[in-house]
Amino acid sequence: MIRKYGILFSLILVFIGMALITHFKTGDWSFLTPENLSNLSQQITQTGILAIGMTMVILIGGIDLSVGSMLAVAGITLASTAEIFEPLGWMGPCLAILCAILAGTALGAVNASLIARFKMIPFVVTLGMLTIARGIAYLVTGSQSIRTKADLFKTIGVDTIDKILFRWTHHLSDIPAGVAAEFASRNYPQSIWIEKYVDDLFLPAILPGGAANIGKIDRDHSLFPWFTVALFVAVFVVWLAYFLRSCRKSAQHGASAESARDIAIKIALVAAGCAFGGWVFVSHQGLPVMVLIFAVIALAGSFLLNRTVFGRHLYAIGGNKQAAHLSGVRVEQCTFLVFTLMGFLCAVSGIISTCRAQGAAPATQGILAELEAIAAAVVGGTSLMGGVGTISGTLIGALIIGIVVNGMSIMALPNPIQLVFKGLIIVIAVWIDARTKRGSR
Amino acid sequence: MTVALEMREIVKDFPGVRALDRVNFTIEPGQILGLCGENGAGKSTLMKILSGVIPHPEYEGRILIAGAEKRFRTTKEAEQSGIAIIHQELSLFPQLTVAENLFMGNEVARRGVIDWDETRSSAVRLLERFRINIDPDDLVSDLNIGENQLVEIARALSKNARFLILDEPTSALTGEEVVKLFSILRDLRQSGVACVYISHKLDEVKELCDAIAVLRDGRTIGEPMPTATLNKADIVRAMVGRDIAHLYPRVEHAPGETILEIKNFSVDHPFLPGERIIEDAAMHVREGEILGIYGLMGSGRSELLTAIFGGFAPDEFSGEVFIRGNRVKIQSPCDAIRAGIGLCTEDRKILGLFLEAGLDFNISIAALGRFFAGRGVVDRHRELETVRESIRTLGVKTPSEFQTVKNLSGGNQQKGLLGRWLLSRPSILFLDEPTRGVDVGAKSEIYQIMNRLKMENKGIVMVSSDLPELLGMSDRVMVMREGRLVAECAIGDATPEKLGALATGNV
Repeated sequence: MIRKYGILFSLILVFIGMALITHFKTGDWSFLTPENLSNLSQQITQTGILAIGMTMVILIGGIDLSVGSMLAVAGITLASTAEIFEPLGWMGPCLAILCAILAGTALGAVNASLIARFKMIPFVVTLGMLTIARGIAYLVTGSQSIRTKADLFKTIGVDTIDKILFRWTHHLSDIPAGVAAEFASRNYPQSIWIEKYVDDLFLPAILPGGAANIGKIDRDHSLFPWFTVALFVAVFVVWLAYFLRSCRKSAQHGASAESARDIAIKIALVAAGCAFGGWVFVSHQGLPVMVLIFAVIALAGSFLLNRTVFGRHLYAIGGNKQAAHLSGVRVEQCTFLVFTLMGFLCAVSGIISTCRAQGAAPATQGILAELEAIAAAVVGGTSLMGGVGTISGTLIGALIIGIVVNGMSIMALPNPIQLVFKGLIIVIAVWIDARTKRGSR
Repeated sequence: MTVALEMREIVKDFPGVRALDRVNFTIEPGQILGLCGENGAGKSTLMKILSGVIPHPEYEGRILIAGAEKRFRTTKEAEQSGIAIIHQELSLFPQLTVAENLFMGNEVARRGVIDWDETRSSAVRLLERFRINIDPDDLVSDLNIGENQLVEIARALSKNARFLILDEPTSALTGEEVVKLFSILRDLRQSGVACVYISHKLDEVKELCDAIAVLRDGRTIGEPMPTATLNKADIVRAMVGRDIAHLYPRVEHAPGETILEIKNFSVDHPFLPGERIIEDAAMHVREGEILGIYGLMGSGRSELLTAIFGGFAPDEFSGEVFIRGNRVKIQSPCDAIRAGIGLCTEDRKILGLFLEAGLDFNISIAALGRFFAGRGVVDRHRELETVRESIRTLGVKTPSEFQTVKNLSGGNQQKGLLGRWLLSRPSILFLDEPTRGVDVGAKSEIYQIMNRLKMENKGIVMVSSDLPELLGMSDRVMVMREGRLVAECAIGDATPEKLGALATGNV
C-alpha cells in the first residue's frame, strides 16, 4: 500500500511538513492559503511542462540539457515577433505564438535528427544546443529584454478561466459608459480595468448588502468561479465513470483484479485530490489559464504513455533498445518524435513563462530549467537508465520541489540556502527511491 | 574430510515465492558434484547464497566450511574462503583485454600501481596452465562466447579456489571446448578442488560428475546419487517428478508449398570493409516444416536469421527474399513482422526481453500496433485478455501477468518470449536457440508448441547448438560454416558425426 502510493505519500508528508515549518518560522499559515497554493501551481507550471517532455526523453534512455535555452529562444521569439506583428491587431499575438512554437519545435527537431538519424549521444548533442540556443536568444534581441503588451499574453499569464468566460459572456462593449470613463480617468491598464469591472459587477450580485460592501470585501472573494467548480466536478465524474467501467471490464475477463479495498482507496484519493484542488482554485479566483494548459498537457502526456502504441514503444526502447528494435519498434522514428516533442513543450513552457513575466529576457529566462525538469522527473521515480517512469510520478516530483521552493521563499531564506536545499531534495528523493526498490526485491 | 563445505537448512523467500525450502547440501574436496533441477528449482539461488551474491542476512540457514560457520556478506568474502563461481551470465568486461579481465579485482600491483609486464606474463602462464589458446592482449569483445567462458573459468581459478561452482558452463561451448573444460576440471579434482557443476545437459553431468544432487521446487530430492549406478531417466524422473517418455516428440506432417525462399543472400561484416559474415546464402522453408540450421558459434547462423528479419541496416545486406513466391523487401523488423515473419532471438536477456518490465508488456509488444490498437490507441482490456490466454496455453508459471520478467525463471522467460512471437501471428517463425538454458520440463513444452505450429502449417526455422534437439525436432537440416550454407541433409541421413564433420569442415 505505502509502496504503491509511496511517492504520493512523500508528497503529502512534504506538504504537511512544509506547512508546519513555515508556520513555526513565520507564525501564520500563509503557506496554506488558497492564494499561495494557487500561486504555487503557477510557479511549477513552467518546470512541470518541461518535465513531462523530459520524462519521455529519459524514458527512452536519453537526456535533454538544452531545454532551458530552447525555452528562452521560444520566449524571445514570442516577444519579438509580437512587436513585429503588432499592426495586425488581434492576429498579431496569435501569429507570435505560432512563431514561438515553430522556433522551439525546430530546435527540438535539430536535436532529434542529430540523435536519431546520426546516432549521436543525446548528452553531447543537447549540451551543444544548450549554448547554441542561448546564444541565439541573445542574438535575436541584441541581449535586451523585451516586454510583451498584448492582452492575449496577459490572459495566458495571469488570468483565470472564470475571468475569461465572464468577459466573453458580458461583452466588453456592454460596459456602462460611466464605469469605463471612471476607470479610464484613473489610468488603470486594461487588464486591471477589467478585473475591477468584474469585481464591481459581481459583488453586489452575490453578497448581501449589495454595492455598499464593495470597498470592504477582499477582491479574492469577489468572483465566484462557477466554471472551475463545474470543471473539477466534471473531471471527477468522468474519471469515476471511466475507472469503474475499466474495473468492471477487468473483472469480466478474470484479470488479477484489484480488490474492493484498493478500488475504494483509489477513488478516495482522487476525490480528495479533486476536492482539495477545487477548494484552492475556487477560493482564489478560479483556475489560472496556464495551469489549465499544464493540466491538459499532462493529461495528453499520460494518455500518450499509457494508452498508445507509441508510448508503449518508448518504454520498450528505454528497457532494451536492441530487443525493441527486434520486436518491430521503429527506434529511430520514436527517438526523433520524442526529442521534437521536447522542443515543442519547451516552446509552450517558454510562451507561458514569458506571458507570466510579461516579457522575455535572454539572460535569465529558463536558466537551470533543464536541471529542474530532470530533477522533477527523477524525484518522481523516472529512472535515468530508461524504461521506468510515469507522468503522474513526474507531476508529483514537480510538486514536491515546488512546495519546498515555495516554502523557502515564504520563510524568506536567502537564495544560496534555497539552492542547497533544492539539491538536497533531489539527492534524498533518489536515495529513498533506491532504498525502497532494493527492499522490494 | 574436515574441509567439506556444507549448507544446512537454507531457506530463501522472494516476493510471492519460496525459492529454497530447507535445502541441505554437502561437498567434499576432490569431488565433482552435479547439481540438477528444472529452471526455477532454485539451483542458481542456492549458488548465489553460497558465493555471497545474496548476502548473509537475506536468507536463513547456515553455511559451514570445515565445520566453521561462514557468513558471506560480499562475494569478496566468499572468495577469501576459497569459493569461486562462474555465473550463467558472463560477467567479463568486453572493452578490456583478456589479461585485464583475468586480474580484475585481483590486480598485480605494487602500492596501487599496476605492474603490466607481470600482469601479462601471469596471464600467459594462467592460460597456458589450462591450455587455453587465447592472446591475453585480445579484447574480450573480440572473443566468441566459448572463448569468453574459458577466460571466465581461468579467472575464477586464478584466485586459487578450493570450491568452484560452474553454472551452465557449456551452454555456449563447442564439443571440442567442452572436452577441454572437462579435462581441466578433472585435473582440478586431482589437486583436491571441490566442484559443483550445474547443468541441464544430463549426458555431460553423468560423464563428468561423481555424484548428482537434485533440486525440485526449492527442495533437495533425497541424498546425492553416485553417477555410476544412475541412468539418465532416473535423473529426469527425480528432476521433474515424472517420466518424460519422449523427449523429442516429433510429429510426422506432410509439408506444403514453399513459404519462404532466399537467394544470393549476403551480409557485410560490421567492422571489416569488404568482408562478409554471410556469403551468398540460399535456402527455402515449406509450410508445416521445421528446418534445422546447425553450425558452430560464429558460423553466422544467428546473423542469417537476423538479417532476413531486417535486424541489420538496409545497406549492410543484399539478396532476394520471397514469401509464397512474391519478392518482398524487408528493411526493418517492422517490415518483417508485417510480412508474417517472427524471430524469437537467442540470448533472451540481451536481445529478447525487457527485464524490468512486466510479463504482459513483454508478451504483447510485437503485436501491439496490429492487433490491440485502433489508430495507435491500445485496447488494454483486449490486450490483457489475450496475454492471459497465452500465459495459460504456454503454461508460464508466474504469480500474475504483471510479474517483472527479471524475477521469472529461465524456462518461463523463454516461454514468455515465445508467447510474444506467437501473438504476432507469424506464418514463418525463426527460433534461435529456443531451449538454451531451459529445463527439461519446459523444453518438452516448447517442443509441443513447435509441433503445434507445424501442424498449423507454419514454416519454422530453428537454429540450435544442441544436436540431439536439432536431430530430434527438424524435418530437414542445413549446415552453416563460416558464413556459408554448406550442406543440406534429409533428417533420415543426418547423424551427429556427419553434421559435426560438415560444420567443422572435416569431411
